[in-house]
Amino acid sequence: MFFIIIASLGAVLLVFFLMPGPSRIVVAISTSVRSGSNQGSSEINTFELFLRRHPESPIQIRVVHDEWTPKTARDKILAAQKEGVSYFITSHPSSVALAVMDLFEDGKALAMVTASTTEKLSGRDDYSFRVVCDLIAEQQDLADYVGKLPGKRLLIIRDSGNPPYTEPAARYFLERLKRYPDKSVREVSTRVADFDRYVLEKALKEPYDMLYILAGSYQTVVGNIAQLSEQTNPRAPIILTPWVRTPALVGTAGTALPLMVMASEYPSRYEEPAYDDFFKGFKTAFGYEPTSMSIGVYQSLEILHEAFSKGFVTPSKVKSYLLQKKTFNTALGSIRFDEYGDRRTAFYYISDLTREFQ
Amino acid sequence: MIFGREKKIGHFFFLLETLTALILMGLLFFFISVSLQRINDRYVQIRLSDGEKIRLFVESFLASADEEFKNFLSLSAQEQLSTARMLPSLSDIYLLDKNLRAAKIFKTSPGSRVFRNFSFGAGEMGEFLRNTGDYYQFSSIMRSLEEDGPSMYIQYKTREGIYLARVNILYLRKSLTRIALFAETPVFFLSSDGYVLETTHPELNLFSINVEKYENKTERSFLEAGGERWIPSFSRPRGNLQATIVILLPTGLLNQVNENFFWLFLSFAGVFLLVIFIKHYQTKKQVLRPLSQLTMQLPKVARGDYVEIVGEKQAPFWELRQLYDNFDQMSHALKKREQTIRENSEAMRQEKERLSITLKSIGDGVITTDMEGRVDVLNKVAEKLTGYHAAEARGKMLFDVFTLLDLESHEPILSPLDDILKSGKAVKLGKKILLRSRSGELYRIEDAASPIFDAEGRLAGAVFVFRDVTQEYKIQEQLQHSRKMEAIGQLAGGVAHDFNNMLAAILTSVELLENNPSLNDKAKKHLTTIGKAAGRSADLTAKLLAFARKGKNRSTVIDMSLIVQDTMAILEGSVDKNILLRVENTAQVSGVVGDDAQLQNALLNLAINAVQAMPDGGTLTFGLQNRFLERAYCENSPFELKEGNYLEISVRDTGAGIPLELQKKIFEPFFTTKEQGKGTGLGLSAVYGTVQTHHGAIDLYSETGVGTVFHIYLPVSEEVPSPREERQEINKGTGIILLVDDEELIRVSTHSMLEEMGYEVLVAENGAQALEVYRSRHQEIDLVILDMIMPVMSGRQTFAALKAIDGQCRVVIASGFSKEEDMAELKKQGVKGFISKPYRRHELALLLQEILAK
Repeated sequence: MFFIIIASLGAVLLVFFLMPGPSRIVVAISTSVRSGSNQGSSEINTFELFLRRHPESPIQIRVVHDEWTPKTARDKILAAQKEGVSYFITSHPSSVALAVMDLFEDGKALAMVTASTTEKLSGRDDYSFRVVCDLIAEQQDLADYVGKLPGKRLLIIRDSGNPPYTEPAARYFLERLKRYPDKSVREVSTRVADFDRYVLEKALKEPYDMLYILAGSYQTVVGNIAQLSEQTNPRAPIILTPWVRTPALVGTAGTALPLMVMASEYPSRYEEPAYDDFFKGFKTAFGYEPTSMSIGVYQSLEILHEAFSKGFVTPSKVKSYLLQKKTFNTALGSIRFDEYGDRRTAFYYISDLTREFQ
Repeated sequence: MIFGREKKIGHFFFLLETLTALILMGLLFFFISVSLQRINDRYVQIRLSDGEKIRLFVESFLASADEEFKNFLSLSAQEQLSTARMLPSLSDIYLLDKNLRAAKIFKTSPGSRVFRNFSFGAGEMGEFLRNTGDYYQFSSIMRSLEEDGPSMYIQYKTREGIYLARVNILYLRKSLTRIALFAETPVFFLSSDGYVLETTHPELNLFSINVEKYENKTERSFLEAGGERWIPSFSRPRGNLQATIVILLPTGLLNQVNENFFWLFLSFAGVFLLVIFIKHYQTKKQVLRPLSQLTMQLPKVARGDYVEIVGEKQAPFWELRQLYDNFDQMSHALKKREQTIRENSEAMRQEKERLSITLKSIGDGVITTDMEGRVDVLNKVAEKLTGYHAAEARGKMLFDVFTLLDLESHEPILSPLDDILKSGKAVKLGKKILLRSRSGELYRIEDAASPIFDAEGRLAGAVFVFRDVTQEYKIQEQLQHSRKMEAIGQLAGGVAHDFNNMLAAILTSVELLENNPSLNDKAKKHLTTIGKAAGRSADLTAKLLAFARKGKNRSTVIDMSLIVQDTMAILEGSVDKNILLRVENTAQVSGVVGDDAQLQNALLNLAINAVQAMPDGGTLTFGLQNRFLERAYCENSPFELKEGNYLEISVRDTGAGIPLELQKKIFEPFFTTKEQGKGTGLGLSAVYGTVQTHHGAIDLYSETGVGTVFHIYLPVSEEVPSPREERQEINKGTGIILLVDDEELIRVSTHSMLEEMGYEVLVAENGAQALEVYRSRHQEIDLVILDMIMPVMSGRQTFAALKAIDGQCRVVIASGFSKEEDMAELKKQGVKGFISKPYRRHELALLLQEILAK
C-alpha cells in the first residue's frame, strides 16, 4: 500500500508536469530586429500590446528573426512551419516576401502581410492575406497625387537598394503618371543609404518642380536628401512613400520638413483619434513611437483572433472565413479583402510631419 | 492503518527515513538557496564593479572629449582648421550659424550625411541647440544626423555661432566593445525613453529596455535577450553623458552555478533516496525478511514442527545469528521438552491404557468417586451393571448411578461412601445386596469399597468394586437343586429297580399263568387284577426310573413333530372343548435321538398339567423351533448340555401360572399341589428324568395370571427319523439263546417267553456261569441276553469276557438301570441291542428277530 501511495503521488506529479496548458495558437511575427531602430521591435511589441489588451486570446507570440534577407527568412519560416507554426504575420520587405511566398501556397500556413507591397503577391489564390495595398494601387495613387501638383518637372530619386519595391513601383508610378501628360519626369537611381552626394547634388542641380523620393525601409537618410533638395530648390515639394514613416526623419530633414508630403494608408493621427490612441498607448507601454507597420500588425492580430474565436483554427478554415467575411472592422479601421485576400483602399497624404511625429 | 494493512516495521522505518530524508533535503535546499543567493549577490556585486569600470571609462572618455573640445575652442581659427583632424575623441566639428545651419565644417567623419548649410534645427538636435542653459554643454545620446546610429554632441555657444562637436561614438563603441567582450558584459546606451542608442552587442537585437521595469526593484529581474537571461544594471555617468548605461550581467555563470547546485542537490537527493532504498532493501533483505521468516517459523514451532534455522545462520549480523542460535536452542529445548512430555504422556497413556484394560479386564465392576461423591470412573462391567456409560455417569452423584437395594425387601440402602470418606477405611458390603440398573434390572452383587489416596497420602475419593453374583447364586441354587434331584433320583432309582425286578417277576408270572389253560375264570380274574396292579406299579416304577434315568430306553432317531402330532391327537379326544389346542412348528429339523414312548409320555404329562391349570378354558400351544445353544448358556445350565443345535419344544398354557416359590420344587418327586390321591407327584419328575435321559434340558417360565410355558431342549439329530411301524404280532424264532440274570424271576419269566417264542434257552445266574456255558457252546449259541447288574461279575465284565471268547458274539443288554451313554459305549464294543426291564414279550421278540436276522 505504501509503495502504491508513493507511485500514485509520482504519477500525479508526472501528469501535472506533463499536462498541456490551455490550448494556444502560435502566431509568428517574421521581422528583423535591429539595435537602434524601432523597426521590428514595433511589430513585436504590438503583439505584446495586443495580448495585454486581449488576455483571453489564444494567440501566442513567436518571433522569427528573418533579418529581412530572403534566404534567412525562408529558412527560418520553414523551420517554424516544421515546428508546427501555422500563422505568420510578416513585416519584411517585398524582396523577402517574394522569396517565401511559395511557403504559403499549400495551406500548411497562412500569412498576414503588413509591409510587402510587391505586385507579385497580388491576385494569387494562396494563403497570403495582405492588410496593406500593393504597390500598384499605392503608386497609382501617388501618381495621381503628383500629377495634380503644380509644376511640370518631376525628379524621382529611386532607391536602388530595394529594387523589388522601387523598380515596379517606379514602373507603375510612371505608367499611371502618363495620365498627366504635362508632367515631365527625370529619374535618378541611387542607393539611398549610401547618401552619394555626388550623384544626388548632380541630380538636384537640374531644375525640377517636385521631388519624389521613391524609397522605403524607414530610412532616415531621406531627411538628409530632403535638406539637400531644399538647399538647391527650396520650394519644390518632396513626396515620400508610406514606407519612410519614422519620427527620426524629423531630425534629419531639418528645415526641409515642411516641404515633405508622405503618402499613407492611414489618416493623420490627428485626424483619426484611434491611431493617435494607438501610438500614444504604444509609447506609454514601450517608451517609443512604433512604425506604421505596427498598425497592420495590430489589425492582423485582431482578424486572426476573431477567426480563432469563431473556432476556425486551421489555415484552410481561417482562409475560408476571411474570404467569406471580407470586411473586418478593427480597432484601427476597416479592412476589406478582395477575392484573393488583397486590400484596396484610398491613400492619405500627410504634409505636416512635424506635428505628425511629435 | 496507514498502509492499509498491519503496520510493519519495514514500512514504518522506510516512512521515517523518507520523512527524515525529505526534511534533510529541505534543509539542504534551504541552505543551498541561501548560499546561492549570497553567491549571486556577490557575483552581481563583482560584475557591477565591471559596470562601474565602464561607467568610469565612459566618463573618462567624455572627459577626454571635453578636454579636446575645449582645447580646440581655445585655438585660433587657423589652428582649429589644422588641428581638428588630430582630435580622436571628436569625429565631427561644426560651426553653426544663427539659423543652426552648418556654416563651417572643421572635421567630418567619412560618409557623413551632413553638409554645409545642413540644418541642425529640427527634432532632438534642434531642442539641444536651442537650449538656453549653459553655453557649453553636452547632449544626451541621440540619433546621429551623420549616419544611422546614436551619437553625442558638445555645443559651445559663442557670438559668432555655435561650435558643435560630435563625440566619436564609434571610438567609444569600439573601446566599449573590447571591454565588453573581455568582460562578457554587453553595454547599452539608452535614451531617456529607453530606446537603445548604442550597444556593444547589436546581435542581441535588443532595441529598447524598459528602465522602470528593471531599475530599483527589490527583487531581481531578469532580462531575456539573445536566448539568454541577463541581469540588467543601470548607471548614469556623472557629467555630460545624459544617457543611461545599461550593463547586462550574464547569468550564464550563475545559471551554471545554480544548475550545478541544482544537480548537486538532485544528485544528493537521489543518492540519499537511493541510499534509503538500498538501506531499506538491505534491511528488508538481511534483517526484516530473515526476522519475518523466523516469525513464520514460530507457528511451526507452535504446531510442534521444530525447525532448525540452518540456512539463516549465515546472516551477516551477530544479533541475527544470536537470535537464530537462541531460536534453535529454544526450538531444541522445546523439542526435547515436548519429547519428554510426549514420552511421559505416552507412558501415562500406556499406564492409563493398561489401567483401562485392567479395568475393562476386571470382571468386577469398578466405580471411583471424588471427595464429593461424584462419579469419576466406570469400567465396562460397571457400565453394564449400572446401565450408565462412563461419559454420562462422570460427574453424577454416586447414588444416582449406583443404586443399591436390600435383597429381601428391595428397599433402597445407602452405599458406604460417606463412611469411607469420613473414616478413610475400607468397607465391605453385605452379601444380600441388589444393584438396580438404570433400566430397572436387578443384579445381586458383592461389593467392597475402599478409599483412594493420592500420591501425598491424602484422601481423594473412594473406589467401589462389586461383582455380579446373580448367576453364581443362581447356579449354586441350581446345583443344589440338581444335587437334590440327583440324590432323589438315586434313591428312587434304587428302589424302583428292585421294585421293578419284582414287578417283572410278577408280570411274567401273570403272563405265564394267563396262558395256563388249567386256571378257572375266577383265578384268571384275580390274575388279571394282579396283572393290572402290577402293571400300574410298573408304570409308577417306570416313572421313577424315568426320573432317575434308570428306566429302559430306546435309542432311535425320531421325529418330534410326529410325537407332537400324536400327543395332539390323544389330547383332542380327551380335553374339554374350551381348551384351544395349537401347534406352532417353525423347526427345520425336528429329529432327535431317543425313546419315542418316553418323550410322548413327557409331552402328555406337560399337556395334562397345562389342561388342569386351565379349568375355565384357555389355549394350549405346542411349539417347535430350532435353537443353537451357546457354550455360555450350556455351562450355566444345571443340565449337562453341550454347545450345539437343539430342538426347543415348548408347552404353553394360559392358566393361572405357578408361583415362584413353587417353581423350584416342581420337578421334585412326589411334590404335588393336587389333593391327596389325585396325583402321584411323579409326573413332572418323570418328564425331568426323560429330558435328562435325552441329554436335554427343561425350564419353565410362569407368571401368575398369565400362564406357564415349559421349554424342553433336545439335541437334534442329523439322521433321518425311521418310519414308524406297527409290530404287535409276535413272530416265532429259532436258535439257542443264553439268558444271564441274577434275578431268578427274570430268568424264569424270560426263559418261558423265549421258549414260547421258539428259542432254545440256556440260563446262567451270573457272569461266571455264563462264561462257562458260553465257552463250551459258543458255536451253538446265537445270542446272549445279559443283565447289567449282577453279583460276581457285572454285565459289562461278562460282556467283555464273552467277546474274548468269541469276538462275533451277539449280546443284548437287559437292565432296569441302563444309561444311554453306557449303552452307546457298549454298542460300540459290540452289543447288538438293549431292552429295558421290565420288557414286553413282543418288544423282546421283535428285538431278537431283528438281531438274529442280521
